[in-house]
Amino acid sequence: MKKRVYGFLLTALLGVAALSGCTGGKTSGDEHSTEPTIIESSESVSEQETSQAQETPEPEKQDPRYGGKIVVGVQQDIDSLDPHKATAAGTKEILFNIFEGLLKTNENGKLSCAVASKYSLSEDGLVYTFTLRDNVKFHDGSNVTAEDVKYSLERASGLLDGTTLVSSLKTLTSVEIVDEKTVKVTTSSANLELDYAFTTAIIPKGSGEKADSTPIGTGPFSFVSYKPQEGLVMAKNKDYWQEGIPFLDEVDFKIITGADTALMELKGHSIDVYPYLTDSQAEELKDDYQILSAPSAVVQALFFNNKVAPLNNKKVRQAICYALDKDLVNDFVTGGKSSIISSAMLPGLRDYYEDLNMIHGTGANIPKALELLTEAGYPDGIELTITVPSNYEAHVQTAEVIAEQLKDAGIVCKIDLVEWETWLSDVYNDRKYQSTVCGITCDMTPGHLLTRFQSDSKKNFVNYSNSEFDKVFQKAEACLDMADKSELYRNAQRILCEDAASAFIEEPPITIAMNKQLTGYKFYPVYVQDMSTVYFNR
Amino acid sequence: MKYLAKKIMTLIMTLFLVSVLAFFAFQIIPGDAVLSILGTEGTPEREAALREELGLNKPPIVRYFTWAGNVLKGDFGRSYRYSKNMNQMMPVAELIGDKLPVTLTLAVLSMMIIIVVAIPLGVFWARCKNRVLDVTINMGTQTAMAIPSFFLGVLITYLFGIALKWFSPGKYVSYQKDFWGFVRYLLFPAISVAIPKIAMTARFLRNSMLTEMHSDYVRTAYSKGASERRVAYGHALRNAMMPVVTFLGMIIAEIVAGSIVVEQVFSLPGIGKLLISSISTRDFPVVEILILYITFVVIFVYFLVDILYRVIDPRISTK
Repeated sequence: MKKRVYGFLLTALLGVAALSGCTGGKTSGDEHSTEPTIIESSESVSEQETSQAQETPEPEKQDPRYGGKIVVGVQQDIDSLDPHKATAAGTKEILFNIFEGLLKTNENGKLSCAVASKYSLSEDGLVYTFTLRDNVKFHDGSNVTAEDVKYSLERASGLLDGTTLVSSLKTLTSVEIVDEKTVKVTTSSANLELDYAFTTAIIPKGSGEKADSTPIGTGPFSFVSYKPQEGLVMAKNKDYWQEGIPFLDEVDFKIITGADTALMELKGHSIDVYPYLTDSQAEELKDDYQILSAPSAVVQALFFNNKVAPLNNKKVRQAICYALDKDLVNDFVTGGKSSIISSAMLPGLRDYYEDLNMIHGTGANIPKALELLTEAGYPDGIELTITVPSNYEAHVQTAEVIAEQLKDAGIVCKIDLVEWETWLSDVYNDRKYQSTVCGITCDMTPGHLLTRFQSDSKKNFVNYSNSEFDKVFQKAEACLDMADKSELYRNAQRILCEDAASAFIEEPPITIAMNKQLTGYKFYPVYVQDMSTVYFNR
Repeated sequence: MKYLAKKIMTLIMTLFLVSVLAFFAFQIIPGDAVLSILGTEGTPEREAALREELGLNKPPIVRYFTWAGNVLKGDFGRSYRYSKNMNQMMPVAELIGDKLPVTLTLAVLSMMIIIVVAIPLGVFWARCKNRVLDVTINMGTQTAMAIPSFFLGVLITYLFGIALKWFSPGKYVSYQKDFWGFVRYLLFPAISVAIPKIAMTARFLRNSMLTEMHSDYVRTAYSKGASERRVAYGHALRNAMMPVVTFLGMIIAEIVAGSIVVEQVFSLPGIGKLLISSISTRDFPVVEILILYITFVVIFVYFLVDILYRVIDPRISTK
């Protein structure tokens, strides 16, 4: 009963939201307080979660101070400065500060208006109408016009020259300018999750050619310089449409490869923010830095190649799921800070996440595993090769714990460490592997996490094929009713888990070290480093 | 003249062979630049488009000869990794040119430290009659040679950077911004590079000195009444330097080719670091030019050593 009421509430709110877009009843003059969301219902839950997530309480609130320069350590070099072409998560987390779309993800994982001030969706879910915000300026000083929006969306979706750069926009069929301030976007199929695709960066008309050398956006910081292997410098955008932010004058993203080098530089205080600490590093730095942690929005799993013997046998896969001690992995690798999951969905996506930990249990159930292996025709156990990308320390450690622990169930594991590039080509693209430990990230849409399990998906590196799942997934994706959609996605997750498509393990935490003089760091459920709200407290 | 021509021919042949080997080694190792660039977000269409943009859809043989032809014309190609846009891909020459001063400055600094410290130390040690001092230097140099350079880098960072705060680890400043700040920061990596080499050079020089000190001309020098000091510096050192020059040449080649480990530890954006990351991103044009550069440096330095030999020791004639 309760569930049905909740579902009804969601539908009702969605209806309202679809009509009013993200105006939230506010005028564009007071954007600072505008935190409009499409689905308001779970906001309080998310807030609670965020505050729980931060382990160390932030220092006492003080009046924000303007000015200053900080250095943020990042692990990966930038793959492209063109926001439509950048694909690496390590690049997108930086570009978030420079570019904005019509909409922007906020720290609750919801959408806020950015370059648009409001939008609405037609009843059939096919036509979006965006109203542009007044006085949004590009970093070169020019105003954002409807022409720029049309150009950006057409370029990213492939309507301009046939090459789709942002795959989530591939269903767009036209972008029309209604008047100076209004743009109408039509899509070929209705999909509630398409909203998130409108976070695609808006760039000046015709600037695509130069986007990679002189990127121009509308974000809180403007691009200053980039040097391969050294880093990117960005400066405060004084004309930023949102009053009051950013606080800092300059932010340097410094590329630091190697966890040991990073630790050394933290100890020497030459970096102010470093977002990817391991548990032991955090322990070592806790006297000198503020240590904050939050869920990472990554689904970590022991992924199976469902087409390779003996993993093509459902019973063998289930046996591994039963034998796997997720609690042990959590204790050993992340100090007990992970959320244990048995679904391909992130717990943070509350409207869709289904808690399936009961199915195989979170501890090791060795008798059940042995029973299933015997039924499957492997009474003497099996051999399992786990291919792991060696640059991801957490995945390597996880694989080591699993290998040691699965021995009890007669599963003898061999860990095969490979370079990231080899992993990409052998495991991800050619699917020549038996099992692998890795993490998959998400852009806040439930479909994004589940789509790879469709039989014909290009991203289906686990070679999973189940027509029932495909049917449920496609129905869920196209569903325009929030409650039904949620139910369908939950079913899809249940199918994956019962089928043991892979052994989902945990959502590991992300732990950051921050200079004690800084305040205002915001965690996002997506992988970004938002520097616009960070300031020096003394 | 014939000698010079012969040397140049060897250089060209070696460069050619090395470039062919590097190219085919790249065909064998798994992974390719396109997959590396697009990561897990690649679609077949984008992969195909990028492959065409980068010219990777052509057969390997064609690619090699196109590349080699361009290099002969002085065009070093463009990096796959840095920038996906064909029009703005970073030229390899520019990419390497930007990193080269870092490695070269590091090499010059460490060579200066090595020469200034190792040569007096070696001579002093050879002449040292104090047993305790002799054993101390012996043990000191043994230890310095045994420590792996990455560990030495870490030790120096901890000692001078974190404990004594003489420099901030990681606060590297670009040579374009502040040259003296840049040199100051490089001093510590240079010391890490220099310490094991100082130990080796000093040992080398000592042994060579001791051998020379027992030769006939030294006895003659003594018998005509020269002081021990004059014999050591005036007569023996010059001859003892011969093998040391070869050794220093090897060291120069090694450092100029890129101090891979030290650059990583001190996060210096030099040639060594560029080489490592280009290999891992399968950025073939950059790797190939870097390998050719390293080959060239090694051969060229040996050539210089050869010439220097003839200057130091006129007995070796330039035939």
